[in-house]
Amino acid sequence: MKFVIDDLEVIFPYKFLYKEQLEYMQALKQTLDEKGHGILEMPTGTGKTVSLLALIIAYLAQRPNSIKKLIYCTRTVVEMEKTLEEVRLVLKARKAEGLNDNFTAVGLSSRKNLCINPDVVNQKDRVDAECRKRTAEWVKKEQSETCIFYENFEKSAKETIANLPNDVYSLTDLRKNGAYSIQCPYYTAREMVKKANIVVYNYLYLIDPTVSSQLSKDQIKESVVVFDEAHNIDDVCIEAYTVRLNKPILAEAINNLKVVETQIQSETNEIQNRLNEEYKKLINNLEKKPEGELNQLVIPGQIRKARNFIDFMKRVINSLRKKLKDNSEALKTSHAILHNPKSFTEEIQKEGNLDIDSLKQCGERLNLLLNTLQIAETDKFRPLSSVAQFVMYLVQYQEGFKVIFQSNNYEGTLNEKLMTLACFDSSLAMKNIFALFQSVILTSGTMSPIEIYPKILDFKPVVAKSIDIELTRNSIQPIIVSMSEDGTELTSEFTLRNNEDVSRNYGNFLLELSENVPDGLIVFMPSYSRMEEWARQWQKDKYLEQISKNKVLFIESRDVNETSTKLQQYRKCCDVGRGAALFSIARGKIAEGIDFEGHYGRCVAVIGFPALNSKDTLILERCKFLEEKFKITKNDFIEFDAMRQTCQCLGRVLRGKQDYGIMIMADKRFAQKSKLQKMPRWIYKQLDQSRCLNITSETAITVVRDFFRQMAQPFKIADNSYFTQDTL
Amino acid sequence: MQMELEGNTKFNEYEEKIRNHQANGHNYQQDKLHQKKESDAQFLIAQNPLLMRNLLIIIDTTKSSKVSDFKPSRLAVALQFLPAFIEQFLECNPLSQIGIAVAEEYKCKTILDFTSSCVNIKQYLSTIHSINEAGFSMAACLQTALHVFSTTQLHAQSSILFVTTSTYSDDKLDLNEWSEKCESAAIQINVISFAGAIHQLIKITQATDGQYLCPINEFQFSQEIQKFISPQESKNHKMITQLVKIGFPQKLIVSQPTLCQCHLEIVYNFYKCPVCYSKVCSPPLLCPICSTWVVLPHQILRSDGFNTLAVFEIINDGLDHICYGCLESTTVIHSTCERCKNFFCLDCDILIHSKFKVCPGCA
Repeated sequence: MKFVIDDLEVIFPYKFLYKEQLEYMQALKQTLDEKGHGILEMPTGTGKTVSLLALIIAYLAQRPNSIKKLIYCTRTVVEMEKTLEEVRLVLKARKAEGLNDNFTAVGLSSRKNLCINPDVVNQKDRVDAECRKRTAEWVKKEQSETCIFYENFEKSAKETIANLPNDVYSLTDLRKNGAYSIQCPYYTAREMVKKANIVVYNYLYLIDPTVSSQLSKDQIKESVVVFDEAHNIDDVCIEAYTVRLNKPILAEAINNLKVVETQIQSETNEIQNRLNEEYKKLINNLEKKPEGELNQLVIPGQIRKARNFIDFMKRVINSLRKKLKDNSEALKTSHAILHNPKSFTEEIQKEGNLDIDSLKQCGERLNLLLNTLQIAETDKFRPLSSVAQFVMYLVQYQEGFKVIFQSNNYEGTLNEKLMTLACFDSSLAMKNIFALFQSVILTSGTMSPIEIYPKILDFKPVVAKSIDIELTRNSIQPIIVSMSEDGTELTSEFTLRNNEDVSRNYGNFLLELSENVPDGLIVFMPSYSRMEEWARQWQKDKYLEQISKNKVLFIESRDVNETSTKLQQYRKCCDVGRGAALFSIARGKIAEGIDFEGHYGRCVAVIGFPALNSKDTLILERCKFLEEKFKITKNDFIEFDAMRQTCQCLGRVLRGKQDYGIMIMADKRFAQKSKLQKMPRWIYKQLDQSRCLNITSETAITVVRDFFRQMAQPFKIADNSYFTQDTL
Repeated sequence: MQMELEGNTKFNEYEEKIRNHQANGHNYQQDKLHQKKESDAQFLIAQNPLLMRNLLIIIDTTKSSKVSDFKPSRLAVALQFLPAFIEQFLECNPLSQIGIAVAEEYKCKTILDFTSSCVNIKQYLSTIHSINEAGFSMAACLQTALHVFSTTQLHAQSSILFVTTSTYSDDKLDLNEWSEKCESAAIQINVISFAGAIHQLIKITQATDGQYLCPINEFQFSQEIQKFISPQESKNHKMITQLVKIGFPQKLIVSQPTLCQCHLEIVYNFYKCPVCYSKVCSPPLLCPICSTWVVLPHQILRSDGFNTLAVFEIINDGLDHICYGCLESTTVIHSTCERCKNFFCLDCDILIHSKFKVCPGCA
């Protein structure tokens, strides 16, 4: 269908346009008009992506001067493919309307998802390294194993890409095209990204400093950047700047250095020549630059020579090791030790006799050296680059960072002392993005309270809007259960964690639920440890046995592959009418990004309040930082984080207007006013205060029964909640 | 034509009502008009019924049937409204038969084979009670149903009515396989559920042109179940024409108690099969000795599609006429049969359309 918003003609690929979609587009258009940034919240499953794409593409076509490019960031590959299919749909509709616009849309993902060389792809985790081994500049000279796909790409890259028709190139298309013309899809995609008007890729391509530096050269200022499912964006930003080191990693880094050292010391002329060449280049670089201007590529004299650099790194690692050892002793008595980055830097400097400029550039220098030495297996050198990254950030950024020593289990090492350079400032990563692009749109199903995002990401949105859903019937039913039948409180509070009554009451409630919910039931719990505790108790009290009579029971595990097979089986059980229950973690993989549409998710129960562990030093520090800088109190932040996690879980259940589901929050803390205020409006509106707030588990079951009978009645979407071509 | 009315007591009821309410004036007329419209609508729906229908009612008696969100319990509500439904069903579909089965833990048990004796069915319904174990299995039920239907005649339309209380179907067998078998055997599957919509069951009912109903309260249950009385249009029903041996029996009333052949019960009034002279108690039924369909004439008349009766037209001429049914004078509003041009009062009209299905004037 075709319609006009203000003076912009939008082609929408469906016959129906919901009211909230129109509202969304209007808000979006306002953002683009004002060339600013925006935050938009719209419930899941209402066609957010398609309305967003339809409007921006219309904008691209009709205002080519104000916007030239759309960059759409998704979290997962599946979402990327879905988005590209939507783009295809929109472009097809535009073509059907007789519009002739030259849009090329392309998806970019890692080599792992795009490579078609059978020898490389089978290596799984080592795809990146294997690919570099075959495609790096120096490889061809040595006449070793090469990749035919890449060679073909090199030969005719420009022509092929120029000749490609304007179309949508999803990852599958790219692979197919690549197989057909025997050209590397990954490099083709990377090349195409520069020219395409619509680009879809992962968050990290923009946020992660190591990746984004490669791409940022080709960015155009007049672009719209969209972050889909952006409710967790601050966590992503922080994670990108946080570096963790421990004893094994440092030992590995030393080994890496040794490998590099032996290479340098080898007497072969070739390597020596190359090293010399590199050195000369660095000197030349220095001479070319006018004095006084500090350039990133200027490598300080101290580490300009490869041998010197190795020595330098050795000293860095040794001083870090010493720090770790010193603090390990102290950790025996205390939980965690904090260091100010500034004093920590000074201590390291003193320890290893290191100068700041060299520390700042050591990451750059390391990459250069690895290139010169023609080391392709970069994954093996990750420990060394982590060390370089650690010191780099340490020196570069002072505010918003802390060095934390903890005794943690990290990456399978038991009780290994962990040294973390933790970043707390989520605005750091976003700062560049907001400056670099004309419009940045953050959008998600659950972004409430919407005021908090501009604060923690430090930007001023021109539009911040939460859009309501218009439901013909009450197809979602949020219920807050705070008591069990006998009047004891239902809560996952830390102080009551050993109380058997609480877990028994939860078990009883779940049993009742499993009896009365048809098809799929999804249960979210605060953490793995809590789930294990409860499961043990329920096993003892025979609750699990009884639940499994009503539903086939699946429990999410830490293993990703295992979980995905379980999900498949879960769906199958729902399909045959047996019904299934899935126990998972509120912060786990299932809570994010996996949809339970239709009968796969009839009820979501969040058992316990999924608050962050406020005893954890990292989180405590982060709260402190937020309080200092943005005046967000610790409680506020923890509540905000728990509620957005909860609402994400709850949002799994509603995937469209025909869909229906129950949302149960079983903890007395959910009923507090401060929590209710942090709920997205579209959920809060559906919460029947008199009937579903603060009720006992028994009453909740009655509500559940009534709801499912109500929803089984024949139903048609009300005519006034959508527009057709005629009614617009 | 000699008619035997099972609804003899009903007739008396109607008469009484007519006598009691005649003086009530205008409201009374309006009520009657409304009633006539309803009965006409019902009549039109059932106008072209299939001659014979076999309905198997499967009642879920597993643990969830004890749940008391319907008062006193789900099963009790079902058992409370089913007798009335069965009575009506047999009245509207005189040549049809009903069987009863109960779903228990992972199995299904037929407790009564197809019969058209209302009393008999009611008697068996009262023996049903809830069990403590969970484990309703749709596939097991379908397996039993297929077995039961395999003995019935092909020309009859077979349908199953599930009264479920569970939110799942826990099958040891492959549900898809058995539902496909039902589909190919043209068995219509209907579900009336106390527990909300189960995706897979809805799919099965849709595949077999059945209905999935989910009443909200007791009253709605009694209303919704009425929908199964008149036959539903079935797309995949294969019309199989067969010659059926039918015999009209003679009614006998004796003073000595006799044993009937069909149910082996002691009876005083019974029918005699015209072929083998065996004694049967409640036509229509298949004579247990010679396999003749023993039916009463009015039953055939009521269930065939000969258009013996059309909707009577309302005439509001204000003149006095003598009702052809009750031979009393009717005033203000009355109706007339298009064919025989006889006048009827509204009470007789309703009675004719809901019970007799034949116009006394035309006959």
